[in-house]
Amino acid sequence: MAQRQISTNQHTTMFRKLLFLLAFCQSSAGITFASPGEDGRSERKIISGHIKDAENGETLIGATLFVEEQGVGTASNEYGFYSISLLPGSYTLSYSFIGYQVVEKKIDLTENTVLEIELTPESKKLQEVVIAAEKKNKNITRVEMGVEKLQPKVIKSIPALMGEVDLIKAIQLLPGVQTTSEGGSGFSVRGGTPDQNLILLDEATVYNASHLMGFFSVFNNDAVNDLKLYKGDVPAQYGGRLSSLLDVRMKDGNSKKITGAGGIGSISSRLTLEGPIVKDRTTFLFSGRRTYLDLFLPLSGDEDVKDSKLYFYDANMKFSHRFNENNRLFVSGYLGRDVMKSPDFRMGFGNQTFTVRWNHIFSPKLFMNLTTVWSRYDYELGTSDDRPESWLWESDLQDVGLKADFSYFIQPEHSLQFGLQSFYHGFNPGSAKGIGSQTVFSEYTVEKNQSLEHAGYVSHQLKIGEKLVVKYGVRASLFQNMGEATVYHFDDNFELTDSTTFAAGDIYKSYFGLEPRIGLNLMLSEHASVKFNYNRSRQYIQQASNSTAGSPLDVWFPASPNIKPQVADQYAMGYFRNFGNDVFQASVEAYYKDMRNTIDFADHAELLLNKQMEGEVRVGNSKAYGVEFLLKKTEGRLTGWLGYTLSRAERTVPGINEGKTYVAPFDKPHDISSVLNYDLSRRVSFSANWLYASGQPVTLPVQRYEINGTIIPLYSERNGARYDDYHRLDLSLTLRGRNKRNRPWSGEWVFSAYNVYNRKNTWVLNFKQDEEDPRETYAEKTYLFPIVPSVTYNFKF
Amino acid sequence: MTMKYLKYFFPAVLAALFSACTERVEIDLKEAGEPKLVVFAEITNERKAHALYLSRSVPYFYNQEGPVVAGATVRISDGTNTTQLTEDITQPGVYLTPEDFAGIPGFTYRLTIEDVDVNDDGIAETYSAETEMKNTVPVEHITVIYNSRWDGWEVKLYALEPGETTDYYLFKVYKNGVLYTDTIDNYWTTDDKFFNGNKIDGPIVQYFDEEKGEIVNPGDMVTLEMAGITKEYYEFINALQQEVNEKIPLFSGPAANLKGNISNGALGFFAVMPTSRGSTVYRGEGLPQAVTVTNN
Repeated sequence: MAQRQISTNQHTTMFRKLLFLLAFCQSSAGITFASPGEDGRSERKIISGHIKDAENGETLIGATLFVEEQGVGTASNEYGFYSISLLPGSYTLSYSFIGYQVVEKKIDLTENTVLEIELTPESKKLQEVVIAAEKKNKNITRVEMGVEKLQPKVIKSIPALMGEVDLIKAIQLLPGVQTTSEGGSGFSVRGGTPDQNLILLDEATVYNASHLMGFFSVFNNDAVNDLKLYKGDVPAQYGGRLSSLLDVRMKDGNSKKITGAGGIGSISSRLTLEGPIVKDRTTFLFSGRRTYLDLFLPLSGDEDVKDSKLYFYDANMKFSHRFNENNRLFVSGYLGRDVMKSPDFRMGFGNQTFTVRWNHIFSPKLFMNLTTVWSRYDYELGTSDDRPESWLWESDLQDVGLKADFSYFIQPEHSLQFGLQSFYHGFNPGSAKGIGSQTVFSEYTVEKNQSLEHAGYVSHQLKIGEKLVVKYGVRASLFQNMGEATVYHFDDNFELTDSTTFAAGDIYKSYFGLEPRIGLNLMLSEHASVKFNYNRSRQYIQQASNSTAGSPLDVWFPASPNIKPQVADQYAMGYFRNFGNDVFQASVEAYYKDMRNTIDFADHAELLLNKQMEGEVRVGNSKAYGVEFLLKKTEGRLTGWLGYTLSRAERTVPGINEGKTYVAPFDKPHDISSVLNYDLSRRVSFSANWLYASGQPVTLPVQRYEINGTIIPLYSERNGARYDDYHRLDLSLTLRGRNKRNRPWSGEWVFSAYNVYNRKNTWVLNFKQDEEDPRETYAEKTYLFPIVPSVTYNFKF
Repeated sequence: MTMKYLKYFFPAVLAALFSACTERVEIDLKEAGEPKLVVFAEITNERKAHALYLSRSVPYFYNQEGPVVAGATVRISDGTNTTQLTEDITQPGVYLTPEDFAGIPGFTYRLTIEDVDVNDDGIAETYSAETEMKNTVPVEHITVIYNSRWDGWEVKLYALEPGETTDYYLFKVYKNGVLYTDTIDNYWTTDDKFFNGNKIDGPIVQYFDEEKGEIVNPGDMVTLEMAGITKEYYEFINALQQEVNEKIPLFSGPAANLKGNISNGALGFFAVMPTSRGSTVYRGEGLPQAVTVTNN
């Protein structure tokens, strides 16, 4: 009871602090908060509205509005909404977005005005010289740094493994982002672990973004509107992970007409249908994908293979409805599952997410989004038949959350964002039991754990003079463990000593912390700027995984009386420079990251089906630093980027590597990625990417010894060696069909090849005893993908 | 036990999916460093001459028989009595207890090794280890059944598990009196997670793999040996099997050294454990089993 009291107090304190901060922001900005948009209090008038794609009505996120006369501007938010307040007068407004034609509007501003803007995509003209490039220097003007945005059409142009367009594989090609294992969809940002990435699909957390043991990701590119990867400067609105935020937004669905798109690939087929239910008011989108490798299994002569199943599917759906100018509703969901079955074993795992959002515009200056999310991940594993030894192993986790986010567009020079959020996490780490009719096993269940994660935040962006933009804010987060639960106590040697039981609903441990975030942007010229950023983040839930590639069986576990939350401080500085009329964008970013309560695991830890799993956790500190170089070309026949990262990530954890500092598992000092797309003609384009990375750190033996006929390796230090350097070239060629007027559909062929020069990149090194001469030991390399060609046919109608 | 199944399951899935390729490669390893003493013994409650093995670690690609450590003074003490082991004249590096030596469950045994100079620095080192002999449960009976799906003979255990304690068991198997499980990577172990305080009603605890030429013919007598081991030895065996078996990036944690129980940086394990046995005569596929029980 006393503990519950404390947590309530902490709650109140937190909100008090927030209110104080809000008040502080107001006074420092010299504005009156209580009168958003009230006429008479301010002479300024507001222009607001949404920016959309003219062809399909899809929201354009981050499109800009620039007021020529004033030299000020704003950008549309995640829902396409923008707002700017100006003194009455005549203005030229220019709306722009990369890949779209600029729209200019002349306006005599006398009262608050709503302007709904539709931008038309630039058609694929060949000799096109882009004229209206003035406002393409957004990378220079915005405060954000360490942020990468990729559009689905760019992702689509990148050669893909087995022709499966994959957005996670695409972000792995960005500087500062590493693949965790060959062909895998886990990624490491600036030396962090995959569980330090917050992956959101329409605001719902995706806990396992992979299909088929990690070789493909759960995101169907056809259903995606926009994605943004924050490598450091995570907005105060988001938190809970130390490394990054991957914010994926699904399409709303075409509001103009019913359209479809699909593809038939080497391993899967896709189909997307979208359109208006009520034109310009209600839209729907449905997108499905299924692999069909298993459809060929019955053709096999082998009985075992014949009875096997192996496939995955996923489905995205979304409805959006516009009640009126000020109220919009979005309902979206994702469902995906992998199924594997052999005559002896079966396994299934998958994610489900569901999001309902309500956008409400209180006044042209105050925008609100209310979100409820639900997400779930589960797996089951067991034997297929009914035998006395048959068993079933299940695990699941669930999130339920409520968020209220506000954007307050005070003046072009000021904007304020604030909000509150609460999440419930319920983790079932696993339960295994015998299921045969005459079972030989009794049940073993690791108790469910439940927790609450609350946060409030406020962030203020301020333009000081012509050259300086400042963004500062704070996120206050509170994490609570909730009964019923058994907490195990361990001594200094991590041996179990005792346990305490808590009743249902008891809050038995709380952690509270402030996460300040500051960003500065100093414009050196129209084409160059220097940015600085400081960011603190706290992570309360993490994954029990010590393998490099990760598996669908890895479970999540929360901070607890035994496990303190992980905390990171990241400092970053960058220089951004555009050349050639902003067609070339160049940047250098340096970062230093200092992390506390870093989690690693004991040698030979037992992380699955272990009630005392917390006893396997070892806690220490870590740091990561590096420099990222990026040169990007976004327009013309040749587009793409070249990135180079020089970095280092290391850990010091008592109990591991004898307490000495060691290289973090995803440390890759040198990393080069080049991604190019060249339009040979209107109908033919060619893409190539080449990547190079230092070999993955690995622990290799130095000596061996023999016990009872078995040769055992003796290792020197953790991650003291590396695999061979990794490099690979992928190519693809896209042939688009002629657009025939009497044909309602158009199609394209994509031919691609992964690992063109057949590099045998090490997946794993094993050390073995020779079968003929047991005294001889040798190293054996396993590599996964030789050259993998594939063909895909895509169509749309 | 589940992890054991996983090891068979996932490589099969991956192999089916991707043409994963392997090849032998030459790699350069770091400087090996000083050799270390390697100790191994499994002392049971049987009355016999128990063996203790001393050898030396070698550089990883040494590729010859490892050097033994001869001439050491080895003693085992149970707190009141101290027994000195004598080196086998025919096999240097092998030290034997007297013929009438038997461990007693509940006793703690201390091993000391003196007069060895493993790193050749002219100064003799001393090593020691201490461990307890746990209890085991009697094997009620066993069955041996051929499983055509796996192509092998499963040895199933029937016994009663005590509920008060967390127990760890080691299983070895004999065919016609000859130890079949003769290397440590063939051991099967389990904790009592799925049986604690229950009847152990026929889980598979050992296995003859036909594909590896491990054949059980009708008329063969199969004997299961069940030993109660310490948590430390259980973890040692499991860690050893993880290090020796193939690593898969999806599941395998980082490579790490085994945690033995010998002091002064020596490698290996000094294990003491009581055993119980059960036997059966295999009659053939699909035929009912003759139940013969021999408890220790």
